[in-house]
Amino acid sequence: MKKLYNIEAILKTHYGDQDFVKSMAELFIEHLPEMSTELQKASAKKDWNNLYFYAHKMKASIDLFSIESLTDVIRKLEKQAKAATDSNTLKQDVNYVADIINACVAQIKNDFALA
Amino acid sequence: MLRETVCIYVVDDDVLYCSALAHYLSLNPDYKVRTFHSAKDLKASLHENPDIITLDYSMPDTKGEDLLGLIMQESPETKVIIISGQEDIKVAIDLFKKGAHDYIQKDADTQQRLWMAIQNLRETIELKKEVESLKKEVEKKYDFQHSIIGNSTAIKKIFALMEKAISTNITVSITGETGTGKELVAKSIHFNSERKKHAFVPVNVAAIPRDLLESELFGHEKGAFTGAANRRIGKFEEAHNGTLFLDEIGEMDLSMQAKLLRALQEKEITRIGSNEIVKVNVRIIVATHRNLQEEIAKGNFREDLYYRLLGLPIALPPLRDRENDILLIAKYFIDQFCKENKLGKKHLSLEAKHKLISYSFPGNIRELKSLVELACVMSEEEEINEEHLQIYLTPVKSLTYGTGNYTLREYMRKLIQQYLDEYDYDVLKVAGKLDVGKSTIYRMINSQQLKVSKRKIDA
Repeated sequence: MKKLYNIEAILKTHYGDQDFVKSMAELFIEHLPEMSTELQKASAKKDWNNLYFYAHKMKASIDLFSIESLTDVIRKLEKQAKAATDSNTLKQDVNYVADIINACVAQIKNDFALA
Repeated sequence: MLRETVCIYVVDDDVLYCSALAHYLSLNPDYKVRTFHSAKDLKASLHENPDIITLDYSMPDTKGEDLLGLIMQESPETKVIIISGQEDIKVAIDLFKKGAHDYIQKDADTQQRLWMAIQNLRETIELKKEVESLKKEVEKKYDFQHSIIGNSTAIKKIFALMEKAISTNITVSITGETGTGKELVAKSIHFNSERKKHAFVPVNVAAIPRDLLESELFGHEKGAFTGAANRRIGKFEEAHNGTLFLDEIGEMDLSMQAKLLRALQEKEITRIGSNEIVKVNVRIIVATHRNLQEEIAKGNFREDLYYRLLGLPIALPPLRDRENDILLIAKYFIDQFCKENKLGKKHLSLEAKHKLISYSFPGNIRELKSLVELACVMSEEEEINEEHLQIYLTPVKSLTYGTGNYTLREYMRKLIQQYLDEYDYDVLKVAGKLDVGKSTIYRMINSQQLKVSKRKIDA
């Protein structure tokens, strides 16, 4: 399977500190699945405030791990939530984010040998 | 120089981003970084007054602007850098108005930009700390118990008067010969009084051409007179809430005295060429080496101004009346000069001390200072001898015949000593001048009634 994330950027800004990257990976596994679940919940309830909040928050982490397949989608969601407009692609987008995040978590767990 | 550590709080509810930032910043060993994920945690630690806080604008439990307000209130010295994922100029401007120091967008370059921002801030913080410590030093410098040296009763009286001047706003008039430290006393009063946070503005009346003095003191509007190309604030306004020190007030001409009197009585001034009246709150200290009462008698000084300015009179004693202090002050200047110029410690020989004490110091402390500083330069060894003290004027402390209860023998001894000093210890010449036998003089030298310089004895 194609690699979904890239830690080159983190490694570069933190001067190749492997331990630090590993600790970031742990944080990713710990927090991102929870965030994408909250994103799904908010979209089901059309809770635009929360949807915006989680989309906005996830954006930073997604950029940090250079998850390119989500770069555009998460921004689209953030914008949409801010404008509080519904669309027929909303559910599909949110689920896509959750799928990719779960796949990333699996890859990261594997790559960093984390439980 | 050892750099101080900078305490930085990174506040962001996004755990990942927060630790990435914190880790990046802590790469600099001088930064002590702590992370906070909620406004609640931050509030509990604000009392520790961190130097810098990087604040995520969208925290879940408190609005960013409220949190900023709280930080500014709790810890006003802290510099806040807002980090925000939203791109909203309006919000940014609002936050700047509320006291944010910087606004950085969350994107790929955030960390580098934050690094730069903190570097700049750190310089500001360090400068601020430096200014504070320098301020303290200035206060210490003018702590008059340290800056004015002396144990004599004459100077102790001055200290007592200065204490009184410091605790009130009374006008102070300082008199004393040149070089007795009039400006130092004025500065000491200012920097120990409640006005120390405001300006001390010295004006030497004698140094400013008559025609310019009015504009110097009161300022002028643009175009008020030929050459007034710009509006200018006068010394009175500059000294608002502070102290105006008018040195050589006795040199002021009569028309200016009338204007000064008006300004002092009404506590307001008008810039030349302006109709606007400016209220000023200024403490006045004046100094003069003239006897103002004599000047009044001669018609050179207005009597009403004299009484207005008299306030608390402080008459500084000339150095020759402070005999015990001459050596104390000389030692102080020697130590200071040697330290500043990285010379070893030096001290005065007994003869040198004697020479200093018997000199009249018409230039007072200023003269003493230059005298001993030159001596420090001239002397090669640790000891400063009398020949290093180059007093060019003839010793003015001549025998005052008729005063003092001297016996004839003492008069004779003093007279011969004076001639010896004057003629470079040439015994034959002195004997000729005074018409006494040279053996009389030699006898007195041998019985140590007379002092001759070492040089001559060795020769």
